[in-house]
Amino acid sequence: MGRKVRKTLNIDAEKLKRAREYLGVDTETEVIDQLLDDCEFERELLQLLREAPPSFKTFRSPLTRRPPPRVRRRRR
Amino acid sequence: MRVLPDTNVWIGWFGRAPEDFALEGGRGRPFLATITLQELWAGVRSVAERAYCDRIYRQARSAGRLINPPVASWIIAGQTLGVLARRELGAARLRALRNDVLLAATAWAYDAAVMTHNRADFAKIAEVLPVQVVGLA
Repeated sequence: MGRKVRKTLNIDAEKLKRAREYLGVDTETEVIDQLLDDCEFERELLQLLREAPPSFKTFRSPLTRRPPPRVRRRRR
Repeated sequence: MRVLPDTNVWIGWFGRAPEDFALEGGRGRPFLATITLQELWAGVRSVAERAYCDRIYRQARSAGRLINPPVASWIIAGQTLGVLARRELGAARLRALRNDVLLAATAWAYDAAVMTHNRADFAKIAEVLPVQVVGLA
């Protein structure tokens, strides 16, 4: 976790209020913190998805009923 | 919007990483369901795939993006399967739908949408269980 710093931001107050209500958090700092966490997770997840072993191109779970669209065989 | 991608969406992403998590008409906040993890683990064929599934699991867990079906989801899933059985869905089909119904019930419990390529089956589930189903952008 990085160092906490105080920032002065120009933000739409109504939008921030709606976001606080939507996220169900108590403070505006928590709103921004949660959205930053989301952004960080998604950035890391996209990076992880780019690192998937090539063998996943032919991967299929035996528990799924249908193959993933990209490995579905063409009808003859 | 919170989204629970189904297993085939994750497999598609493993095969080709998306640019972002855009949805039809918005942006998705992906969560990993333990039901999906089960289906992924059942298919791993190598040490590399096993290690990768473990990385996905650990990343989702550490970010609070791992979702386990709560008791209510198991109950709702059972009730949904009961209604589908009374609509004369055969036993084999019902068994095949079990994980999809549980995923839908989990999404419902967490106010999330199911993200899937397979909208037809989830539309059938959504006739009984009011869950939102979204496709990829």
